[in-house]
Amino acid sequence: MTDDVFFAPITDLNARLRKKEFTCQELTRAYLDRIERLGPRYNALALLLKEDAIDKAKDVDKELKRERYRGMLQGIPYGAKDLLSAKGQPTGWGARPYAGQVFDHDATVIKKLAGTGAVLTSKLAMVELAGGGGYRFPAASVSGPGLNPWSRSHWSGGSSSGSAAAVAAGLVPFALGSETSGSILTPAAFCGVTGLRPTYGLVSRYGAMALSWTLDKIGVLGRSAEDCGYVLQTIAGSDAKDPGSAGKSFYYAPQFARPLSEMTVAYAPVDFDAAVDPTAKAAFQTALEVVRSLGMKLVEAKIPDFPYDAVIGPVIAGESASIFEELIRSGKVDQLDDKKQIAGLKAYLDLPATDYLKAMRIRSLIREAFGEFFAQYDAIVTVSRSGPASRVSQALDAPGSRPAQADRGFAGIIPAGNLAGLPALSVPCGFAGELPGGLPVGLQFVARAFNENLILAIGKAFQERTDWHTKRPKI
Amino acid sequence: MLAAPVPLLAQAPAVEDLAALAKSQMQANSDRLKQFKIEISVEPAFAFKP
Repeated sequence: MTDDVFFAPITDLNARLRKKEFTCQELTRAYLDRIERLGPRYNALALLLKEDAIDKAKDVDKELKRERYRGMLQGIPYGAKDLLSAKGQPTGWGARPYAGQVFDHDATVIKKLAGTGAVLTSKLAMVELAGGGGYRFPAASVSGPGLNPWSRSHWSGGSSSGSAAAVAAGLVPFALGSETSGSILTPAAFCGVTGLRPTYGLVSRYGAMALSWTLDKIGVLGRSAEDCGYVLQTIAGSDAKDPGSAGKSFYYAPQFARPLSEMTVAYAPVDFDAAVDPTAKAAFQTALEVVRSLGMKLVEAKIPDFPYDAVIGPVIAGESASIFEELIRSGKVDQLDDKKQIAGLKAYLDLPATDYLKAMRIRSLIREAFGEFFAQYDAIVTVSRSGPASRVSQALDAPGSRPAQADRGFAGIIPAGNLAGLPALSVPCGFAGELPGGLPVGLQFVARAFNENLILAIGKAFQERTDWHTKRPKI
Repeated sequence: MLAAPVPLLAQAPAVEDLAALAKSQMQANSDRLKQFKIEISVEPAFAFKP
C-alpha cells in the first residue's frame, strides 16, 4: 500500500474499498502498522486496538462482499481521543490517576461510528483531564508532550493533541476530539489539519469524560471540510443519555449550500495584521484574499464586547471542581503531571457560587448578543490561533513579545464561540514561524448555531482554491 | 477540551507560587465580573441551548 493511501480523503478510500482495490482488512492492517510504528514518535497513541479493529474489518469485508453499503465511513479506520469510552478497553483521560480505568459501555459517538462500519484502531493521547485546571507545559499528559508532526521540537496543541497529530502524520484518516474552549481548533491549526467544533448539543457526549457540562462538545479532526462533514453526519443526533443533547440531527448537504455570493462575512482587519505573529501575517493576509475571492461580501466588524475570559474561567472552574471534587479532595489530584493544573483544580474548590452564577448570567447576554450579531452576518472569518505552535519545552504562560492590541477585532472568539455554543471550522491556510518551511497556521470560520453546513461550504470552497490541506509533513 | 493559551501576548510573570497564582487569577476574573453590570432580571444560562 502506497503512502498516498495514508493521506487520501475519506471519499477516495471509500470508493477504493467498494471497487475492491483493497479490502478493509488490508487497509486497517496498514493503518494499524503505521500508527503502531509512528504514533509513539509524536506521543500521539494512548492505546492500540489491534484485535478489535481487525475483527471489525473482517465484518466490514463480509458486508462489502455482499454489496451491503452503509455509507461513506464504512471500512474507514479512525482514532478517538482517550476521553471517549470504548467498552472493555482502558480509557485513561490522559491522566495518571485514571490510568487503567475501564468502562462497560461505548460512548455514543463510538457506537454510531461502529454502526456505519467505521473501524476504531486507536485511542489517541490528550492533555490530562483535557487541561481543565489550566496547564503550564505541553508535557501535561500521561503520554508526554504532544509532538507536532511538522517539527517534533514543537507542540501539537491541546487538548486533542494525539487526534490532530495522528491525522497530520497519516496515522488515521480522521479522529474524534473534543472542545471546551479551543481544544479542537488549536491542535487543528498547529498540525495543519481541518478541525470541526460542532454546535453545543449537536453531538452526544454520553461516554465522554465531562469537564464542563455546559461547554463540552465532541468534534472531528480530518483532512478536509468535506471529510469533517461526513463524519459529523454520522456522529450527530439526539441522545436521551446526554442531558445537553439538542435533539437535532445533521445531514451533510454541500449540494444544497447557499451560493457564497449571497453571504455576508464579518472580519476584522487587525486579526490579519497587528494582532498576529509577524511571521504569519503574510499567510493570513493571503488567506483572507482567497476568502474574498470566493465571492462573499466581507464586512468589517468586531466581536460583541464582553469579558469572555473572565466569564469562561468561572464556568469551567465551577463545573470541573464539582466533576473532579473526589479526585481533588482525596489528594489523587497530586498524581497529575502538571503542577499548575494541580494548583488550579485545588483552587477551583473555593470558587464563590456568586461568581459562577454571575458568569452564567453574563453568558445569557452573550448568547443574545450573538443572536443579534448573526442577524447581520452569515459567518465570521478570523485566524484560528494568532501564530504557529510554540516549542514543546516552552511554558505556555511565558510572556510574549507583542503588546495587546487596543482594537481587539475578533480576539476572544474561542471563548466567545464556546460560551455561545457556536460551530467553528479551522482550515489550514499556510505556514509561518522561525523554522525553514515553517509550521502550519489556520483560518477559522464561525457561524450561528446549527449552521455547520454553511461553514463547511465555505471551508470546502476555500480548500478547492488552496492546497494547504493536502500538504504532508516529512515523516 | 481546553486549549492552553499560546505564549504570544504578554500576560504572565514567572510562576513561583502556583497556588497563589491560581487564586489570583480567580480573583482577577471575579473582579472583572463584579465590574460588569447587568439587569437584575437576567437569569443564568442553565439548561444551555445555543
